[in-house]
Amino acid sequence: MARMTTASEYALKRSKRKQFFKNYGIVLLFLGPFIFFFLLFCVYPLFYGIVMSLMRYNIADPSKNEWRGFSYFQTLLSNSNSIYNTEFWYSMKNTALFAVILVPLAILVPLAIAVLVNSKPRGYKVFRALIYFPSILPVSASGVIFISLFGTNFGYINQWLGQTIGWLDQTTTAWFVIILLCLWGGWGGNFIILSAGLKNVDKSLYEAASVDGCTGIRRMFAVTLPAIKPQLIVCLFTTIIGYFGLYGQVYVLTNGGPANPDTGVGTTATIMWYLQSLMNSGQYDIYGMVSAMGLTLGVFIGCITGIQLFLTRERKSGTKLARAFAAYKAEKAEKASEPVPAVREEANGNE
Amino acid sequence: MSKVLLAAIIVVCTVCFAMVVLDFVVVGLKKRKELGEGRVARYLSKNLFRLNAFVFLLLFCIVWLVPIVVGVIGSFTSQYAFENHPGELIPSDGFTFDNYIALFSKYDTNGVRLPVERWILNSFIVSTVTTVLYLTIAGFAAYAFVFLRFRGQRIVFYVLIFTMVIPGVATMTAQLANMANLGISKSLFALILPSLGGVGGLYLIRQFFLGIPQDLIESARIDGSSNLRIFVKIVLPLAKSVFLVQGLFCFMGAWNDLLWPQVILGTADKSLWTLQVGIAYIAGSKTANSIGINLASAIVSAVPILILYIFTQNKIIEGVAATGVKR
Repeated sequence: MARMTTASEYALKRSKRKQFFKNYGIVLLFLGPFIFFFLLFCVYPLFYGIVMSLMRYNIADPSKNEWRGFSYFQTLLSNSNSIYNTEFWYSMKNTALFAVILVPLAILVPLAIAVLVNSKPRGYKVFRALIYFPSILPVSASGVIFISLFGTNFGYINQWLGQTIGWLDQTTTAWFVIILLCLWGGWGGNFIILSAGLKNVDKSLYEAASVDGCTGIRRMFAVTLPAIKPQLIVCLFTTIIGYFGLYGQVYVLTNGGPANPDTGVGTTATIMWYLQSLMNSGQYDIYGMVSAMGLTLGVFIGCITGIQLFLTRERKSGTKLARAFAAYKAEKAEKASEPVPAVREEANGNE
Repeated sequence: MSKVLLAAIIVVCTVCFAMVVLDFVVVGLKKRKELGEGRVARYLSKNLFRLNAFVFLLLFCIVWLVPIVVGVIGSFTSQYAFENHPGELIPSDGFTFDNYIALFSKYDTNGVRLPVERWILNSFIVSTVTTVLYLTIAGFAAYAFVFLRFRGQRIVFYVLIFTMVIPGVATMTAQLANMANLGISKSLFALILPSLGGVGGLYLIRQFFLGIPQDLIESARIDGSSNLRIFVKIVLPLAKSVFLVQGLFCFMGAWNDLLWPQVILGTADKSLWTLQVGIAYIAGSKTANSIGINLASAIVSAVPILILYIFTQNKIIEGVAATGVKR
């Protein structure tokens, strides 16, 4: 008897071991390639970047690398005599100011348009498609179109107005054109997300509100806005992050823009444009500095993304995929709870 | 001020004014209960907001599309018209294809021809290869996360999700050095490979896979199907739509990317550039004698996206709504 048990246990163990290799072999086969690329191109650069920021890193000749400790971070954070420090914070300031001005615009305008589209006028799907269209155009293409619109001598706008305004040659107007391009080619995503949210607001909420005598503007603030709070949060954070990555518009339209006559620094320089200009400047030993800048900015953006992920965890409502999932879950729950109402009905019938 | 603009402003103002007057009349009549019982009156009292929305959206869309119309028309306008009659939407000497021909025989300041057709080819290679590879790799990985069981599954997944917090800018320099160390910094691999480690698409595909009933997979497994067979025969057909959406995102992302190709490819070898880098380079000269060519290059780069959008705009819009990914 005892022998038999041992044998079967051995067989079980052996088959388990076999199963283990079988299972993990397939896991490795399926997950392996992704993990490989993920480690090589996502995790490794992060740590490598931290190492780089502590070095005077020469990208052309790695044998010339020298350890610099935290001196680059020190320069960035406290030494205001260094040109890197001043230009970094100058372009940071530009970018932050730009984001502060544009974020409300880039959420409120799409919200208004989404409310209009959501009333489902005739052909609203066409409107939706047209309004979203500029957002998927390559930024260099839409930038080129805007150059032809806002050119000084031959631009269409100047000709139509009968003026010769140097739109892209003055700081204020250059920012204005950049903002226009960001709005034209940028808020389509917000518009789609918000209108999806509006579409999925529970109709019974509106009915309840109208029973309570709440209509018009009040209904908007008391019912609609709270109902689409998740979408508003997603929009808010993705917009802020997007504007901190503002690059293509600036590069194509002004390439850093009209230089400040006193300092020679481009007045429409954004942080991404500045980093790009450093990397393309042909200085091979600057990469440690750029890495330190990227990490400083990255910590900042990472915090914003972290807050967003925290606020929106498992609450991606208003989506077709999530709805399909929710429907599946509900179906499952229904199946589980089906017998109960049936029994109750029987009981009622007996009474 | 040109007559066209003036006329446009007048038309817009008139339409808006008419709409406001109509609103006031209808609302006023409704308050005094003098609105008739006819079909028009009933329609108006019921759909006033929708009518307003329609008119406003119509005007808005017309203004919204002005840049695109200008871009398309401008690309067919001759150099002569730009210099002598700037600002005319319909050029006096008719439309021509000259700009497109000139684009493909454009020389840079050193007298070297710009390999535009090579840029287009590069862009296509990068976009399609990235899309196909990423969908394959991420699809299998998502399958492993949803339908296979292994130790540390949740932890690995949470680590992946956590790295979404790290923005690209923090790792960009290191990525550059990484490419240089791998010896692929001056080839198209440098554009294709880094995006294969992206977590966003994996997350999207996994979310969709979660909606596929586990029972289906279990029963297939009991019937003796291998995991590969289940993936190809069951999961793939069910998850077609999410693969399409993610594929579109991948393709458009790779096609539209400007910063990374610029940084990694540099300016030395122009035959390596993608189309976006090339356009940004051509657009660098903002003089009049290149407006037409600039616009032609912009249209060339926008046409593939436009074609994709026309056929799949519903899917793209649903995908954006579902994921909050903005392209």
